Amino acid sequence: MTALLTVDRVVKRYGGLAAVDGVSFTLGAGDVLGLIGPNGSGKTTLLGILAGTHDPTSGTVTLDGRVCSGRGAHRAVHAGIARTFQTTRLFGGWTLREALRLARRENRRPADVASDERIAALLALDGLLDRPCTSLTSAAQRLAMIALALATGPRVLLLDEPAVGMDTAESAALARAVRDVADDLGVAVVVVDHNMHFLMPLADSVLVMASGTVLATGTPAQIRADEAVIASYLGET
Amino acid sequence: MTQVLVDGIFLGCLFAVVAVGLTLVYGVMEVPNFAHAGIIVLAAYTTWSVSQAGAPFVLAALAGIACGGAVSVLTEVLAYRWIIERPAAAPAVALGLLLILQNVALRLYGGAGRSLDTPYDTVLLRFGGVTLPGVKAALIVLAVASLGALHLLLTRTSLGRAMRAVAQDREAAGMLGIPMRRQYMLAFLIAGLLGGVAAIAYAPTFQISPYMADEVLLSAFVVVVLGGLGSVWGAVTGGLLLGIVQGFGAAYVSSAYQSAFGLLVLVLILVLRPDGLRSTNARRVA
Ligand SMILES: Nc1ncnc2c1ncn2[C@@H]1O[C@H](COP(=O)(O)OP(=O)(O)O)[C@@H](O)[C@H]1O
Ligand SMILES: [Mg+2]
Repeated sequence: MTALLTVDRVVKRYGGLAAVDGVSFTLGAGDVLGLIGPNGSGKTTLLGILAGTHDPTSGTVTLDGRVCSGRGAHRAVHAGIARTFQTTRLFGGWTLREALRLARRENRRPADVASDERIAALLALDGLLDRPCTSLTSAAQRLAMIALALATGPRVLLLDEPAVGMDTAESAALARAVRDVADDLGVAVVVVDHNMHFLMPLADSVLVMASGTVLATGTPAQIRADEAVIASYLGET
Repeated sequence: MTQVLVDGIFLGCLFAVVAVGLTLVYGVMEVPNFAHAGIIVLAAYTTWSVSQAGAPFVLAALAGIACGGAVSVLTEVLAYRWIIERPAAAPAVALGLLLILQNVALRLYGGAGRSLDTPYDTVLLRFGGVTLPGVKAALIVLAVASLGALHLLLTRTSLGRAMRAVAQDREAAGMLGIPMRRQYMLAFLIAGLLGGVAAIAYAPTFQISPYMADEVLLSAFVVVVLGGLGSVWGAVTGGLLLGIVQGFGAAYVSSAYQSAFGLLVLVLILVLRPDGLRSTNARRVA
Protein backbone atom coordinates (compact mmCIF):
# COMPACT_ATOMS: atom_id res chain seq x y z
CA MET A 1 0.00 0.00 0.00
CA THR A 2 1.38 3.43 -0.83
CA ALA A 3 1.34 6.09 1.83
CA LEU A 4 -1.33 8.76 1.94
CA LEU A 5 1.00 11.40 3.36
CA THR A 6 4.72 11.54 2.65
CA VAL A 7 6.94 14.01 4.45
CA ASP A 8 10.33 14.17 2.80
CA ARG A 9 13.37 15.78 4.45
CA VAL A 10 11.48 18.85 5.56
CA VAL A 11 13.57 21.74 6.92
CA LYS A 12 12.40 25.05 8.37
CA ARG A 13 14.96 27.65 9.34
CA TYR A 14 14.36 30.84 11.30
CA GLY A 15 17.56 32.80 10.77
CA GLY A 16 20.32 30.60 12.12
CA LEU A 17 17.94 28.27 13.96
CA ALA A 18 16.64 25.13 12.26
CA ALA A 19 13.29 24.69 14.02
CA VAL A 20 12.68 21.59 11.88
CA ASP A 21 15.81 19.96 10.54
CA GLY A 22 15.26 17.20 8.02
CA VAL A 23 12.15 15.32 9.15
CA SER A 24 10.80 12.46 7.04
CA PHE A 25 7.95 10.03 7.66
CA THR A 26 4.96 8.47 5.93
CA LEU A 27 1.41 7.94 7.09
CA GLY A 28 -1.41 5.77 5.76
CA ALA A 29 -5.17 6.39 5.84
CA GLY A 30 -6.64 5.66 9.25
CA ASP A 31 -3.25 5.72 10.98
CA VAL A 32 -2.71 7.71 14.16
CA LEU A 33 0.80 9.06 14.61
CA GLY A 34 1.84 10.43 17.99
CA LEU A 35 4.36 13.26 17.77
CA ILE A 36 6.28 13.92 20.96
CA GLY A 37 9.37 15.79 22.04
CA PRO A 38 10.50 18.45 24.51
CA ASN A 39 9.23 22.02 24.24
CA GLY A 40 10.92 23.83 21.40
CA SER A 41 11.77 20.61 19.54
CA GLY A 42 9.83 21.76 16.47
CA LYS A 43 6.51 19.90 16.72
CA THR A 44 4.28 22.92 16.16
CA THR A 45 6.50 24.20 13.38
CA LEU A 46 6.31 20.80 11.65
CA LEU A 47 2.50 20.84 11.88
CA GLY A 48 2.55 24.39 10.47
CA ILE A 49 4.49 23.18 7.44
CA LEU A 50 2.16 20.22 6.90
CA ALA A 51 -0.83 22.57 7.18
CA GLY A 52 0.62 25.04 4.68
CA THR A 53 0.86 27.83 7.24
CA HIS A 54 4.67 27.92 6.90
CA ASP A 55 6.66 27.36 3.73
CA PRO A 56 9.39 24.80 4.30
CA THR A 57 12.94 26.05 3.71
CA SER A 58 13.49 22.77 1.86
CA GLY A 59 11.83 19.39 1.54
CA THR A 60 8.29 18.50 0.47
CA VAL A 61 5.00 17.24 1.80
CA THR A 62 3.09 15.01 -0.61
CA LEU A 63 -0.54 14.02 -0.23
CA ASP A 64 -1.59 11.15 -2.48
CA GLY A 65 1.36 11.77 -4.78
CA ARG A 66 0.74 15.52 -5.05
CA VAL A 67 3.08 18.07 -3.52
CA CYS A 68 1.02 20.26 -1.22
CA SER A 69 3.59 22.11 0.89
CA GLY A 70 4.48 25.78 0.51
CA ARG A 71 1.20 26.81 -1.11
CA GLY A 72 -0.62 28.55 1.70
CA ALA A 73 -3.01 27.36 4.37
CA HIS A 74 -6.23 27.40 2.37
CA ARG A 75 -4.72 25.30 -0.42
CA ALA A 76 -3.52 22.70 2.06
CA VAL A 77 -7.05 22.61 3.48
CA HIS A 78 -8.53 22.25 0.01
CA ALA A 79 -6.03 19.47 -0.71
CA GLY A 80 -7.26 17.66 2.41
CA ILE A 81 -5.00 18.61 5.33
CA ALA A 82 -6.78 20.21 8.29
CA ARG A 83 -5.41 21.22 11.66
CA THR A 84 -6.26 22.48 15.09
CA PHE A 85 -4.20 24.89 17.15
CA GLN A 86 -2.34 24.54 20.40
CA THR A 87 -4.54 27.30 21.84
CA THR A 88 -8.31 27.24 21.42
CA ARG A 89 -9.27 29.35 18.43
CA LEU A 90 -12.93 29.49 17.58
CA PHE A 91 -15.15 32.23 16.24
CA GLY A 92 -16.46 34.15 19.24
CA GLY A 93 -20.19 34.60 19.21
CA TRP A 94 -20.87 32.05 16.48
CA THR A 95 -22.59 28.77 17.05
CA LEU A 96 -20.72 25.64 16.10
CA ARG A 97 -23.19 24.99 13.30
CA GLU A 98 -22.57 28.42 11.75
CA ALA A 99 -18.83 27.85 11.82
CA LEU A 100 -19.22 24.33 10.39
CA ARG A 101 -21.33 25.70 7.58
CA LEU A 102 -18.63 28.20 6.65
CA ALA A 103 -15.96 25.48 6.70
CA ARG A 104 -18.16 23.40 4.39
CA ARG A 105 -18.87 26.26 1.99
CA GLU A 106 -15.18 26.98 1.56
CA ASN A 107 -14.46 23.38 0.62
CA ARG A 108 -16.71 22.48 -2.26
CA ARG A 109 -16.13 18.80 -1.99
CA PRO A 110 -18.93 16.32 -2.62
CA ALA A 111 -21.03 14.44 -0.15
CA ASP A 112 -18.14 12.50 1.35
CA VAL A 113 -17.83 15.15 4.08
CA ALA A 114 -19.57 13.98 7.22
CA SER A 115 -22.76 15.82 8.20
CA ASP A 116 -22.86 18.21 11.16
CA GLU A 117 -24.73 15.58 13.17
CA ARG A 118 -22.26 12.84 12.29
CA ILE A 119 -19.31 15.03 13.26
CA ALA A 120 -21.02 16.03 16.50
CA ALA A 121 -21.76 12.38 17.30
CA LEU A 122 -18.18 11.29 16.58
CA LEU A 123 -16.84 13.97 18.92
CA ALA A 124 -19.51 13.61 21.61
CA LEU A 125 -20.74 17.13 20.91
CA ASP A 126 -24.35 16.10 20.30
CA GLY A 127 -26.81 18.76 21.31
CA LEU A 128 -24.19 21.50 21.37
CA LEU A 129 -24.33 22.46 17.69
CA ASP A 130 -26.60 25.44 18.18
CA ARG A 131 -24.95 26.97 21.21
CA PRO A 132 -22.48 29.84 20.91
CA CYS A 133 -18.95 28.43 20.93
CA THR A 134 -18.04 30.64 23.88
CA SER A 135 -20.68 28.98 26.08
CA LEU A 136 -19.09 25.54 25.71
CA THR A 137 -16.77 24.09 28.36
CA SER A 138 -13.11 24.41 27.55
CA ALA A 139 -12.91 20.67 26.77
CA ALA A 140 -15.90 20.97 24.42
CA GLN A 141 -14.24 23.96 22.76
CA ARG A 142 -11.16 21.83 22.05
CA LEU A 143 -13.46 19.23 20.47
CA ALA A 144 -15.29 21.95 18.55
CA MET A 145 -12.00 22.94 16.96
CA ILE A 146 -11.61 19.35 15.76
CA ALA A 147 -15.19 19.46 14.47
CA LEU A 148 -14.34 22.51 12.33
CA ALA A 149 -11.31 20.71 10.94
CA LEU A 150 -13.48 17.71 10.06
CA ALA A 151 -16.06 19.88 8.30
CA THR A 152 -13.42 20.75 5.71
CA GLY A 153 -13.47 17.07 4.71
CA PRO A 154 -9.83 16.29 5.50
CA ARG A 155 -7.87 13.16 4.71
CA VAL A 156 -5.16 14.17 7.16
CA LEU A 157 -5.94 15.75 10.52
CA LEU A 158 -3.25 17.52 12.57
CA LEU A 159 -3.96 18.00 16.28
CA ASP A 160 -1.63 20.25 18.29
CA GLU A 161 -1.85 19.35 21.98
CA PRO A 162 -5.60 18.63 21.85
CA ALA A 163 -5.73 17.28 25.43
CA VAL A 164 -4.28 20.42 26.98
CA GLY A 165 -6.32 21.47 30.02
CA MET A 166 -8.41 18.29 30.02
CA ASP A 167 -8.93 16.02 33.03
CA THR A 168 -8.45 12.26 32.77
CA ALA A 169 -12.04 11.51 31.78
CA GLU A 170 -12.10 14.26 29.18
CA SER A 171 -8.83 13.19 27.61
CA ALA A 172 -9.99 9.56 27.54
CA ALA A 173 -13.14 10.67 25.70
CA LEU A 174 -10.97 12.68 23.32
CA ALA A 175 -8.78 9.63 22.65
CA ARG A 176 -11.87 7.57 21.79
CA ALA A 177 -13.14 10.32 19.51
CA VAL A 178 -9.82 10.57 17.66
CA ARG A 179 -9.73 6.79 17.25
CA ASP A 180 -13.26 6.86 15.82
CA VAL A 181 -12.37 9.64 13.41
CA ALA A 182 -9.40 7.62 12.17
CA ASP A 183 -11.33 4.35 11.92
CA ASP A 184 -14.73 5.52 10.70
CA LEU A 185 -13.68 8.33 8.38
CA GLY A 186 -10.35 6.79 7.34
CA VAL A 187 -8.56 10.01 8.24
CA ALA A 188 -4.83 9.91 8.98
CA VAL A 189 -4.15 11.73 12.24
CA VAL A 190 -1.02 13.37 13.64
CA VAL A 191 -1.37 14.13 17.35
CA VAL A 192 1.08 16.23 19.33
CA ASP A 193 0.78 15.88 23.09
CA HIS A 194 2.82 15.76 26.25
CA ASN A 195 0.34 13.58 28.12
CA MET A 196 1.64 10.03 27.63
CA HIS A 197 -1.38 8.45 29.33
CA PHE A 198 -3.47 10.04 26.60
CA LEU A 199 -1.15 9.57 23.65
CA MET A 200 0.47 6.15 24.04
CA PRO A 201 -2.74 4.04 24.04
CA LEU A 202 -4.12 6.09 21.13
CA ALA A 203 -1.17 6.12 18.73
CA ASP A 204 -0.40 3.37 16.22
CA SER A 205 3.13 4.70 15.96
CA VAL A 206 5.14 7.42 17.65
CA LEU A 207 7.70 9.84 16.32
CA VAL A 208 10.00 11.56 18.80
CA MET A 209 11.54 14.90 17.89
CA ALA A 210 14.52 16.58 19.51
CA SER A 211 16.00 19.91 18.34
CA GLY A 212 14.16 19.71 15.05
CA THR A 213 15.30 16.22 14.11
CA VAL A 214 13.75 12.76 14.43
CA LEU A 215 15.20 11.12 17.53
CA ALA A 216 13.24 7.87 17.21
CA THR A 217 10.20 6.28 15.59
CA GLY A 218 8.38 3.11 16.49
CA THR A 219 5.36 1.60 18.14
CA PRO A 220 4.38 3.05 21.52
CA ALA A 221 5.88 -0.02 23.21
CA GLN A 222 9.20 0.41 21.39
CA ILE A 223 9.32 4.11 22.23
CA ARG A 224 8.65 3.48 25.91
CA ALA A 225 11.61 1.11 25.97
CA ASP A 226 13.95 3.35 23.95
CA GLU A 227 16.80 4.53 26.14
CA ALA A 228 17.63 7.61 24.11
CA VAL A 229 14.00 8.73 24.32
CA ILE A 230 13.84 8.07 28.03
CA ALA A 231 17.02 10.04 28.55
CA SER A 232 15.99 13.02 26.47
CA TYR A 233 12.31 13.22 27.17
CA LEU A 234 10.26 10.61 28.91
CA GLY A 235 12.67 10.54 31.84
CA GLU A 236 11.88 14.17 32.63
CA THR A 237 8.16 13.70 33.01
CA MET B 1 -31.79 72.75 18.09
CA THR B 2 -33.40 70.13 15.82
CA GLN B 3 -31.67 71.82 12.89
CA VAL B 4 -28.32 71.38 14.60
CA LEU B 5 -29.13 67.74 15.28
CA VAL B 6 -30.04 67.13 11.63
CA ASP B 7 -26.82 68.77 10.48
CA GLY B 8 -24.93 66.63 12.96
CA ILE B 9 -26.59 63.51 11.59
CA PHE B 10 -25.58 64.54 8.07
CA LEU B 11 -21.97 64.88 9.18
CA GLY B 12 -22.25 61.64 11.15
CA CYS B 13 -23.46 59.69 8.12
CA LEU B 14 -20.48 60.93 6.14
CA PHE B 15 -18.07 59.94 8.90
CA ALA B 16 -19.75 56.55 9.24
CA VAL B 17 -19.48 55.68 5.54
CA VAL B 18 -15.81 56.65 5.41
CA ALA B 19 -15.00 55.06 8.78
CA VAL B 20 -16.68 51.75 7.91
CA GLY B 21 -14.43 51.48 4.85
CA LEU B 22 -11.39 52.10 7.03
CA THR B 23 -12.43 49.75 9.80
CA LEU B 24 -13.27 46.92 7.40
CA VAL B 25 -9.79 47.06 5.91
CA TYR B 26 -8.25 47.37 9.34
CA GLY B 27 -10.32 44.43 10.57
CA VAL B 28 -9.15 41.96 7.95
CA MET B 29 -5.66 43.27 7.15
CA GLU B 30 -4.66 45.52 10.06
CA VAL B 31 -3.68 48.32 7.73
CA PRO B 32 -4.39 51.99 8.58
CA ASN B 33 -5.53 52.83 5.09
CA PHE B 34 -4.71 56.54 4.71
CA ALA B 35 -4.91 56.03 0.94
CA HIS B 36 -8.69 55.91 1.41
CA ALA B 37 -8.72 59.71 1.14
CA GLY B 38 -7.06 59.41 -2.27
CA ILE B 39 -9.73 56.91 -3.36
CA ILE B 40 -12.44 59.43 -2.44
CA VAL B 41 -10.65 62.14 -4.42
CA LEU B 42 -10.31 60.03 -7.58
CA ALA B 43 -13.91 58.84 -7.32
CA ALA B 44 -15.11 62.44 -7.01
CA TYR B 45 -13.06 63.61 -10.01
CA THR B 46 -14.27 60.65 -12.07
CA THR B 47 -17.87 61.56 -11.32
CA TRP B 48 -17.15 65.19 -12.16
CA SER B 49 -15.45 64.44 -15.48
CA VAL B 50 -18.05 61.92 -16.63
CA SER B 51 -20.76 64.37 -15.77
CA GLN B 52 -18.84 67.20 -17.56
CA ALA B 53 -18.73 64.95 -20.62
CA GLY B 54 -22.51 65.16 -20.69
CA ALA B 55 -23.51 61.88 -19.08
CA PRO B 56 -26.54 61.86 -16.80
CA PHE B 57 -25.70 62.31 -13.13
CA VAL B 58 -26.69 58.76 -12.13
CA LEU B 59 -24.27 57.33 -14.69
CA ALA B 60 -21.51 59.68 -13.54
CA ALA B 61 -22.14 58.71 -9.94
CA LEU B 62 -21.97 55.00 -10.77
CA ALA B 63 -18.72 55.59 -12.66
CA GLY B 64 -17.31 57.36 -9.61
CA ILE B 65 -18.30 54.56 -7.26
CA ALA B 66 -16.87 51.94 -9.63
CA CYS B 67 -13.64 53.93 -9.87
CA GLY B 68 -13.43 54.00 -6.07
CA GLY B 69 -13.79 50.21 -5.90
CA ALA B 70 -11.29 49.59 -8.70
CA VAL B 71 -8.56 51.91 -7.39
CA SER B 72 -8.99 50.55 -3.87
CA VAL B 73 -8.54 46.96 -5.08
CA LEU B 74 -5.47 48.11 -7.04
CA THR B 75 -3.85 49.50 -3.90
CA GLU B 76 -4.33 46.11 -2.24
CA VAL B 77 -3.09 44.04 -5.17
CA LEU B 78 -0.12 46.25 -6.01
CA ALA B 79 0.98 47.38 -2.55
CA TYR B 80 -0.64 46.20 0.68
CA ARG B 81 -0.60 42.52 -0.29
CA TRP B 82 3.17 42.55 -0.41
CA ILE B 83 3.69 43.85 3.09
CA ILE B 84 1.22 41.60 4.90
CA GLU B 85 4.11 39.92 6.72
CA ARG B 86 5.57 43.30 7.71
CA PRO B 87 2.79 45.20 9.46
CA ALA B 88 5.22 47.85 10.71
CA ALA B 89 5.61 49.05 7.11
CA ALA B 90 1.87 49.51 6.60
CA PRO B 91 1.51 53.16 7.77
CA ALA B 92 4.40 54.30 5.56
CA VAL B 93 3.03 52.43 2.54
CA ALA B 94 -0.43 53.85 3.21
CA LEU B 95 0.89 57.42 3.34
CA GLY B 96 2.93 56.83 0.18
CA LEU B 97 -0.14 55.57 -1.63
CA LEU B 98 -2.13 58.60 -0.48
CA LEU B 99 0.51 60.93 -1.93
CA ILE B 100 0.56 58.98 -5.19
CA LEU B 101 -3.22 59.07 -5.57
CA GLN B 102 -3.43 62.77 -4.71
CA ASN B 103 -0.69 63.56 -7.20
CA VAL B 104 -2.42 61.53 -9.89
CA ALA B 105 -5.48 63.70 -9.27
CA LEU B 106 -3.33 66.83 -9.38
CA ARG B 107 -1.73 65.80 -12.69
CA LEU B 108 -5.01 64.85 -14.31
CA TYR B 109 -7.25 67.65 -13.07
CA GLY B 110 -5.02 70.41 -11.75
CA GLY B 111 -5.22 72.04 -8.35
CA ALA B 112 -8.24 74.26 -8.93
CA GLY B 113 -11.39 73.35 -7.02
CA ARG B 114 -14.25 71.95 -9.07
CA SER B 115 -17.84 71.92 -8.11
CA LEU B 116 -20.07 68.98 -8.81
CA ASP B 117 -23.61 69.77 -9.87
CA THR B 118 -26.37 67.34 -9.04
CA PRO B 119 -30.00 67.15 -10.13
CA TYR B 120 -31.01 67.70 -6.50
CA ASP B 121 -28.89 70.84 -5.98
CA THR B 122 -31.87 73.11 -5.82
CA VAL B 123 -34.11 70.84 -3.77
CA LEU B 124 -34.75 72.07 -0.27
CA LEU B 125 -36.65 69.82 2.09
CA ARG B 126 -38.61 71.44 4.90
CA PHE B 127 -40.25 69.71 7.79
CA GLY B 128 -41.22 71.54 10.95
CA GLY B 129 -38.68 74.28 11.42
CA VAL B 130 -35.93 72.21 9.89
CA THR B 131 -34.54 72.67 6.40
CA LEU B 132 -32.43 70.10 4.68
CA PRO B 133 -30.77 70.74 1.33
CA GLY B 134 -31.20 67.97 -1.25
CA VAL B 135 -27.47 67.18 -1.33
CA LYS B 136 -27.43 66.51 2.39
CA ALA B 137 -30.62 64.46 2.28
CA ALA B 138 -29.11 62.43 -0.57
CA LEU B 139 -26.02 61.73 1.50
CA ILE B 140 -28.10 60.45 4.41
CA VAL B 141 -30.14 58.22 2.11
CA LEU B 142 -27.03 56.88 0.35
CA ALA B 143 -25.27 56.23 3.66
CA VAL B 144 -28.20 54.34 5.14
CA ALA B 145 -28.70 52.31 1.96
CA SER B 146 -25.04 51.35 1.52
CA LEU B 147 -24.49 50.50 5.19
CA GLY B 148 -27.69 48.46 5.15
CA ALA B 149 -26.44 46.56 2.11
CA LEU B 150 -23.13 45.96 3.83
CA HIS B 151 -24.91 44.63 6.90
CA LEU B 152 -26.80 42.12 4.76
CA LEU B 153 -23.60 41.09 3.02
CA LEU B 154 -21.75 40.50 6.28
CA THR B 155 -24.53 38.57 7.98
CA ARG B 156 -26.35 36.75 5.18
CA THR B 157 -23.73 35.66 2.66
CA SER B 158 -20.90 33.19 3.00
CA LEU B 159 -18.42 35.74 1.61
CA GLY B 160 -19.50 38.12 4.35
CA ARG B 161 -19.31 35.49 7.03
CA ALA B 162 -15.86 34.54 5.79
CA MET B 163 -14.94 38.21 6.12
CA ARG B 164 -16.04 38.25 9.75
CA ALA B 165 -14.12 35.04 10.39
CA VAL B 166 -10.95 36.52 8.88
CA ALA B 167 -11.37 39.65 10.98
CA GLN B 168 -11.69 37.59 14.15
CA ASP B 169 -8.73 35.33 13.55
CA ARG B 170 -6.86 35.23 10.28
CA GLU B 171 -5.03 31.96 10.90
CA ALA B 172 -8.07 30.14 12.21
CA ALA B 173 -10.04 31.34 9.19
CA GLY B 174 -7.30 30.03 6.91
CA MET B 175 -7.77 26.67 8.56
CA LEU B 176 -11.37 26.57 7.41
CA GLY B 177 -10.05 26.86 3.88
CA ILE B 178 -10.86 30.55 3.40
CA PRO B 179 -8.47 32.11 0.86
CA MET B 180 -7.05 35.23 2.51
CA ARG B 181 -6.33 37.06 -0.73
CA ARG B 182 -9.92 36.80 -1.86
CA GLN B 183 -11.04 38.30 1.45
CA TYR B 184 -8.44 41.09 1.36
CA MET B 185 -9.58 42.02 -2.14
CA LEU B 186 -13.20 41.94 -1.07
CA ALA B 187 -12.52 44.18 1.93
CA PHE B 188 -10.74 46.73 -0.27
CA LEU B 189 -13.45 46.49 -2.92
CA ILE B 190 -16.19 47.24 -0.39
CA ALA B 191 -14.13 49.99 1.23
CA GLY B 192 -13.49 51.54 -2.20
CA LEU B 193 -17.17 51.40 -3.18
CA LEU B 194 -18.07 53.06 0.12
CA GLY B 195 -15.36 55.65 -0.56
CA GLY B 196 -17.03 56.26 -3.92
CA VAL B 197 -20.40 56.67 -2.23
CA ALA B 198 -18.85 59.12 0.23
CA ALA B 199 -17.30 61.03 -2.67
CA ILE B 200 -20.45 61.49 -4.71
CA ALA B 201 -22.48 62.17 -1.60
CA TYR B 202 -20.35 64.88 -0.13
CA ALA B 203 -18.48 66.38 -3.09
CA PRO B 204 -21.56 68.47 -3.99
CA THR B 205 -21.61 70.01 -0.50
CA PHE B 206 -17.92 70.97 -0.60
CA GLN B 207 -15.55 71.32 -3.50
CA ILE B 208 -13.58 68.73 -5.40
CA SER B 209 -9.84 69.10 -4.93
CA PRO B 210 -6.94 66.67 -4.43
CA TYR B 211 -7.06 67.38 -0.70
CA MET B 212 -10.81 67.41 -0.23
CA ALA B 213 -10.90 64.26 1.92
CA ASP B 214 -8.00 64.95 4.28
CA GLU B 215 -10.08 66.34 7.10
CA VAL B 216 -12.84 63.77 6.68
CA LEU B 217 -10.19 61.06 6.82
CA LEU B 218 -8.89 62.44 10.09
CA SER B 219 -12.37 62.50 11.60
CA ALA B 220 -13.04 59.02 10.26
CA PHE B 221 -9.92 57.71 11.95
CA VAL B 222 -11.12 59.28 15.19
CA VAL B 223 -14.37 57.40 14.61
CA VAL B 224 -12.57 54.12 13.93
CA VAL B 225 -10.70 54.39 17.22
CA LEU B 226 -13.87 55.54 18.99
CA GLY B 227 -15.84 52.61 17.68
CA GLY B 228 -13.15 50.06 18.39
CA LEU B 229 -10.70 49.08 15.65
CA GLY B 230 -12.33 46.73 13.19
CA SER B 231 -15.88 47.06 14.50
CA VAL B 232 -18.38 47.99 11.79
CA TRP B 233 -21.19 48.88 14.15
CA GLY B 234 -18.75 50.72 16.36
CA ALA B 235 -17.83 52.80 13.31
CA VAL B 236 -21.48 53.54 12.56
CA THR B 237 -22.38 54.58 16.10
CA GLY B 238 -19.05 56.36 16.54
CA GLY B 239 -19.60 58.24 13.27
CA LEU B 240 -23.02 59.45 14.29
CA LEU B 241 -21.80 60.41 17.76
CA LEU B 242 -18.87 62.36 16.41
CA GLY B 243 -20.99 64.06 13.76
CA ILE B 244 -23.55 65.19 16.31
CA VAL B 245 -20.93 66.36 18.81
CA GLN B 246 -19.11 68.31 16.11
CA GLY B 247 -22.41 69.75 14.92
CA PHE B 248 -23.38 70.97 18.38
CA GLY B 249 -19.87 72.20 19.12
CA ALA B 250 -19.82 74.22 15.92
CA ALA B 251 -23.28 75.67 16.55
CA TYR B 252 -23.03 76.53 20.23
CA VAL B 253 -19.36 77.17 20.85
CA SER B 254 -17.40 77.96 17.73
CA SER B 255 -17.13 76.37 14.33
CA ALA B 256 -13.40 77.08 14.36
CA TYR B 257 -13.04 74.34 16.97
CA GLN B 258 -15.28 71.80 15.22
CA SER B 259 -12.55 69.19 14.83
CA ALA B 260 -11.27 69.83 18.34
CA PHE B 261 -14.59 68.68 19.81
CA GLY B 262 -14.19 65.39 18.05
CA LEU B 263 -10.75 64.88 19.54
CA LEU B 264 -12.13 65.82 22.95
CA VAL B 265 -14.77 63.10 22.65
CA LEU B 266 -12.09 60.68 21.58
CA VAL B 267 -9.96 61.42 24.64
CA LEU B 268 -12.98 61.13 26.94
CA ILE B 269 -14.09 57.79 25.50
CA LEU B 270 -10.59 56.37 25.52
CA VAL B 271 -10.20 57.33 29.17
CA LEU B 272 -13.55 55.75 30.08
CA ARG B 273 -13.36 52.77 27.70
CA PRO B 274 -9.80 52.17 26.53
CA ASP B 275 -10.82 49.70 23.81
CA GLY B 276 -13.37 51.97 22.21
CA LEU B 277 -17.15 51.69 22.22
CA ARG B 278 -17.51 48.25 20.73
CA SER B 279 -14.16 46.59 20.61
CA THR B 280 -13.95 43.08 21.80
CA ASN B 281 -11.75 40.99 19.61
CA ALA B 282 -14.61 38.60 19.09
CA ARG B 283 -16.83 41.30 17.62
CA ARG B 284 -14.55 42.63 14.96
CA VAL B 285 -16.43 43.31 11.74
CA ALA B 286 -19.59 42.13 13.38
N1 LIG C 1 8.22 32.28 13.92
C1 LIG C 1 9.34 31.87 14.54
N2 LIG C 1 10.47 32.63 14.49
C2 LIG C 1 11.61 32.23 15.11
N3 LIG C 1 11.72 31.10 15.79
C3 LIG C 1 10.65 30.29 15.88
C4 LIG C 1 9.40 30.63 15.27
N4 LIG C 1 8.52 29.64 15.52
C5 LIG C 1 9.17 28.73 16.25
N5 LIG C 1 10.44 29.12 16.47
C6 LIG C 1 11.46 28.35 17.22
O1 LIG C 1 11.51 27.06 16.68
C7 LIG C 1 11.69 26.10 17.71
C8 LIG C 1 10.60 25.07 17.65
O2 LIG C 1 9.38 25.63 18.13
P1 LIG C 1 8.00 24.84 18.13
O3 LIG C 1 7.78 24.26 16.78
O4 LIG C 1 6.96 25.74 18.65
O5 LIG C 1 8.30 23.69 19.18
P2 LIG C 1 7.28 22.76 19.96
O6 LIG C 1 5.93 22.88 19.38
O7 LIG C 1 7.89 21.40 19.80
O8 LIG C 1 7.34 23.20 21.39
C9 LIG C 1 11.74 26.87 19.02
O9 LIG C 1 13.11 27.06 19.37
C10 LIG C 1 11.08 28.17 18.68
O10 LIG C 1 11.60 29.18 19.49
MG1 LIG D 1 4.08 23.43 20.28
